[in-house]
Amino acid sequence: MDDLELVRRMSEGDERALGVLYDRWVTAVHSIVLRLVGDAAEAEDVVEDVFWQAWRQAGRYEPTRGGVSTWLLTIARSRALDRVRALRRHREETVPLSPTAEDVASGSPTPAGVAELSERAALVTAALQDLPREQREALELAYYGGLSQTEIAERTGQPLGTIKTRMRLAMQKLRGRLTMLGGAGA
Amino acid sequence: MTRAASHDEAREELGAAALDALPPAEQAAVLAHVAACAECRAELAAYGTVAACLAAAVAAVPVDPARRAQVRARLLARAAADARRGELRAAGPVADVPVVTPGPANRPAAAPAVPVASPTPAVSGESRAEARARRRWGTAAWLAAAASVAFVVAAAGLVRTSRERDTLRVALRATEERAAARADSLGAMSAALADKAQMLDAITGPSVRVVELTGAGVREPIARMFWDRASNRWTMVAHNLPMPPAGRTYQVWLVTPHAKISAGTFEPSPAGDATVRAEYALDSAALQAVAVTEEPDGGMPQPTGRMVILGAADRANR
Repeated sequence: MDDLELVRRMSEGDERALGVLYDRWVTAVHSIVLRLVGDAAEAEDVVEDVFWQAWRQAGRYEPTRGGVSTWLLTIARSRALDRVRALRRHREETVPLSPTAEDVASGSPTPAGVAELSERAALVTAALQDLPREQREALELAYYGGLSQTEIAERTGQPLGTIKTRMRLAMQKLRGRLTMLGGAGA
Repeated sequence: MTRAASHDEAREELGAAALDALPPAEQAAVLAHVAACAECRAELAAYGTVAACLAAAVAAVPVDPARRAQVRARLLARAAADARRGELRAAGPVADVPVVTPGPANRPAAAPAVPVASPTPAVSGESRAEARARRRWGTAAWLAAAASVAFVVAAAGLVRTSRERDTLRVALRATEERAAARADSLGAMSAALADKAQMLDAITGPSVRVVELTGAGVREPIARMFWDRASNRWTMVAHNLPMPPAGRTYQVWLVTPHAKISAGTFEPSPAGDATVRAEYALDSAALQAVAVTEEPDGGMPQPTGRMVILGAADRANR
């Protein structure tokens, strides 16, 4: 049974479909959440939030907006950033600098079975590595660190305009590289 | 109202907008333009997909198996309870997003039941889904783009949901407090109005007797006591009264041949005005005089202090 069918069943109130979707995607969701949140206990909490939100909003999922995995991972990042920001507000701490693309590339491989993801991971990792270092840094601080351009400018000591330019160029290049993934170029 | 960014401004920032990395006001301005510009909608959709791809580049970290099972059990229990409440179906699909015929999603539910424990991902199924998605992107690109924007915007909305909920909660509490305060002040006004009406009755009724009280001094204190014999309400209105010394107060007396009856203590306003009211049944022939004396705080059972003003009742009898 494919993900679309699972989501359809979830929208009809079939909690077993949620169980299957969970089994299938929990590692991917957990990975991005842990990367953003940086704390195992917090990450588990957020993972539950992510799948709960998927359950509640399954009826609104539109296949034309992107694959189920894209949908889930977007929810995952949103929920994780919510948590990061809430924790930051509480602790008045700065998030640790995100690992660089080299770290990403040297990380353990994605689990066998999630073929689409691992294929995508290799492409994205390669595309990230091809970016100039400062562009990659701006992109990663935004996506994985949840920092705004203003915060990135403060952290790196660069003018806001410079950060904006770097981020724009990075996204343009990534988009060019990822168009081959299907859908990324629209 | 959010100002919409110009087309050129928005276009520059679409990549950052897809990352939700713009300062909030700028993000709102860009999204406001995107809502009205098909070209930018398509661009933002493309960047949104790029952003989502970044999640795939993260090194996989499996969840601890015991915790993974716990979370799973909890989720399924919550979902089962939720499904029983039937809230899901009530929520329904979002109506404002164009619907492209989705392959399996619209198929009648003839597929086999979902296996409960099936941790093995359906790789081939996923590939088919992706192939379908790609095909749809080709044939209905603009539609997909528009829908993706809705998706990005919806995702951005989710980020803000909890913050907005907190804000709304605070606003609701403030509104409730304001409503309660209004009800209180309305009640107080009604009470004050009723009080004034009662006082007006007590000094204007057909059976009201008036006793004029006067004192001695440069700026003479004066007072009038209105005695409504029908309701036994006493209302004294005084002017030009100096503040009593610290620890002292004024006390009103109804003087009869046999007793001096306290009608209460009072302090004048800084301007020297005072209104004193009392209820006391008294034989209409018994009142000889009305007096105000200066007494220790709290008043005395019998007058002990200096007489401030005095009025003889017979002067008021008509």
